[in-house]
Amino acid sequence: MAETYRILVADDDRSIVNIIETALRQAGYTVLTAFDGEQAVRLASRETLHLIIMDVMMPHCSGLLATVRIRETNNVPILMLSAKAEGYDRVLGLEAGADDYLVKPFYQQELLARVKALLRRYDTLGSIRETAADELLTVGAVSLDLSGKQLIAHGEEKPLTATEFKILQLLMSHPDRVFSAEEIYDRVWDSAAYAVENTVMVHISRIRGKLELNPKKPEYLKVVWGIGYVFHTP
Amino acid sequence: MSFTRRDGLAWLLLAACAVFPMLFIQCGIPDEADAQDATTAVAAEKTTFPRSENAVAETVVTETAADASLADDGAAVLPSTAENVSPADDGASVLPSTAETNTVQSPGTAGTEPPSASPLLRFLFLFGGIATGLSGILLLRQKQPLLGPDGVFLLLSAVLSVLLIIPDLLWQQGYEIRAFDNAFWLPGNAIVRSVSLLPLLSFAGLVCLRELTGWVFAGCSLRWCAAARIAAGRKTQRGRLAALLGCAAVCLFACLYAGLSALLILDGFAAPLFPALCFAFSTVSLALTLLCLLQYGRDLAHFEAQLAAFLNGGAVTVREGAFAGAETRLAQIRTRHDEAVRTAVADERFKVDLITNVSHDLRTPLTSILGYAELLQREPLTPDGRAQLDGLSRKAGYMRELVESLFELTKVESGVIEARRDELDLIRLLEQTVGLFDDRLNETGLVIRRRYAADRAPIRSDGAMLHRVFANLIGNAVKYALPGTRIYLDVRPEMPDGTETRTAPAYYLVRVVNTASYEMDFTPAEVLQRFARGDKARATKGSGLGLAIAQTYTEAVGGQFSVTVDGDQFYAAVRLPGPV
Repeated sequence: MAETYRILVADDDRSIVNIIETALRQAGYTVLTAFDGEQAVRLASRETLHLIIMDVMMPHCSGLLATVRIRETNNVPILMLSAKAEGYDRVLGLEAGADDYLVKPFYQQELLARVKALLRRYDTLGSIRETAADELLTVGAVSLDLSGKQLIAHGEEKPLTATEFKILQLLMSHPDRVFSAEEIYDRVWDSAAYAVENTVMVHISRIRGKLELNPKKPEYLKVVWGIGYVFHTP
Repeated sequence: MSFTRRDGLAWLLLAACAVFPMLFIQCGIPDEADAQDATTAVAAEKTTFPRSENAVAETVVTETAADASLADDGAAVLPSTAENVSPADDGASVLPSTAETNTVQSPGTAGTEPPSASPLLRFLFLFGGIATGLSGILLLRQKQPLLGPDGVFLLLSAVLSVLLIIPDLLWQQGYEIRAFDNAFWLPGNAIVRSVSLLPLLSFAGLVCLRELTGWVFAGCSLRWCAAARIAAGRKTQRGRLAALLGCAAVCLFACLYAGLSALLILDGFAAPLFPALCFAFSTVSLALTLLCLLQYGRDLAHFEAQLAAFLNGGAVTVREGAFAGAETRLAQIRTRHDEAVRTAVADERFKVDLITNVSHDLRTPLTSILGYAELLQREPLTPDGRAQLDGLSRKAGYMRELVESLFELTKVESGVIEARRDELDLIRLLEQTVGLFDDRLNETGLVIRRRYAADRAPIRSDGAMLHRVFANLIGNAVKYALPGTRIYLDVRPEMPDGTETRTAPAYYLVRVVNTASYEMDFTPAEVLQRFARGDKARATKGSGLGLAIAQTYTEAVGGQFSVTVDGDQFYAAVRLPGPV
């Protein structure tokens, strides 16, 4: 699986390219490198690639521009890297055509997890569609199989407990709606309410561990402080 | 009902008005006495008087004669004597049809019958006096101005003009009083007329007095001036009324004078010099005053419009008029203000760019350091090497946290991040935050004791910011607390004076209290400084920014942050504004 994937890493900082290259090679991927936007665009048009990791701030042709140009002809998944973490930077990157955005400095574990997720999403897209559409509750890269009671997160299947499934079903059926802990408890648990906040919180953290690429920085299952919890549409 | 100064003045005036006509009925005219003292003894030619049945006219006419006759007595009842004398017992003769100038010499000493009061006239004057008094009081009781001090000038000019001109023109005669060998010349009717037109004079006088006192009581404000009301009330009835009254007054008097002087000239009235001058003067001054008022009103309206434009952020135009200077200065203030705003905005943007660039520049090499450290973890290393790598990783991680915290702190302090105002439950937020520390609490054997004075604490604030504040405070408590002790979490709804309340609190006081595991030899001010660590040896993990961030975020949501140290007890208090 991983052996045949070819990944392009583009960054003007050679040590970062070096680090990422080593990490990916150790994970079993084939790596190509570029040190500016022009090079990246050229390699993308010439070579077969399964993923591009692109830094935003590059000379000659910025990562954003390179992404736009690559997107004209190629649908390959692009993961953007940047030291800029502002909300609008992220939006800009995604609007330009990137599929994901990672902020420097990052943990290599997270980088690898995202790479895997992106590859899986595009590779196994077909297999996901085989499941009956009405049995599947999908929000972003996360799907809930209602018949099989399974979670499919970033292409990977994860088992869920009954309670976890019920919570996810409730939250994913109403994406972007905030539920308070009491509301979640009422609809999910049969027993009387006791230490509601704590119980719900514990379950949410467990689900996060299964669902999120970086549980410490959740993208889907978020806490709205002082109000409740929400399943966020990315 | 309280007795104000206004009321006192009103009563005084009422008394005066009731008494005034009586006095005049009983007593003589002082002016006349003076006049007659001054004159040399000259044989008094009897004046000829109007044929009109106008009682007032007769009164006017005959009282002069009566006064003349009673001069020695020094007392005369003007109106009452008139009646008696008018049957021409004293030789009142035919009114000349032509405008002959008869001179009334100083009153002779010819004896006449003492005047006897006519009941009707006496009643009329008494009534007139009381009526004017009452109207004066009513006017005084009003809070709103009728004419304003500038209007008073108009009114006085009008009344004086009436007094001086109209009777002359009506009777087509000019009367003179000569004294000091003809050096002193005055239209004789003037004095007479002033008395006979007493009701008009009282009324005018009272209105003037009322307007002036009202103006003084109102602090001599510009609002009382007709110009201000014309300017302000262009769209209201009052303003239009004021402007209309003014124009009407001028037009009326102008027409009146024009008409009557035409009559005079047609009649061959030879020397209308004095009346004509008075007429011209009155009309012109009236017209000019009115024009000035209108123009001033227009300028004032323009100025007020510029003030409003200034407040709303619009452009200020300067108009050549009474307020040109003030408007120019206003325009200058606007320009300077706009410049200052531009500079401030540019500064802000520069600051934000600086913060963003610096943090970006710090993050890039940090990425490499952390990246290599991570890769090294997977390489085979000697035990020493591994220990050194651990140290490197730890410090690199610490630096990363530091950069993030610093960046965040600077953003909040520079006001780039605006606090949201969402409706949330403070108690719920605290529970959610505490939930994050469950594992760590279990590890350290610490317990959190909640002391909530209410089940719910609804407030409007920024949930994410508050979460950071309390996460930092509770995190600190967990880090620095003595194992086996309790961490207290208090929530107290308070009134502004600090007393606890059950309903509608002004504030919510949240306190995190812990027993320190080390001796705290610092003051609260010291520990709140950036990078200050309670543990001066810096042996434990921590960037020293936790409390600084908590304080900055608390202030960003409009709360107050404080730290108290009491022996081994550490209190961190956050006071948040309640739902308003």
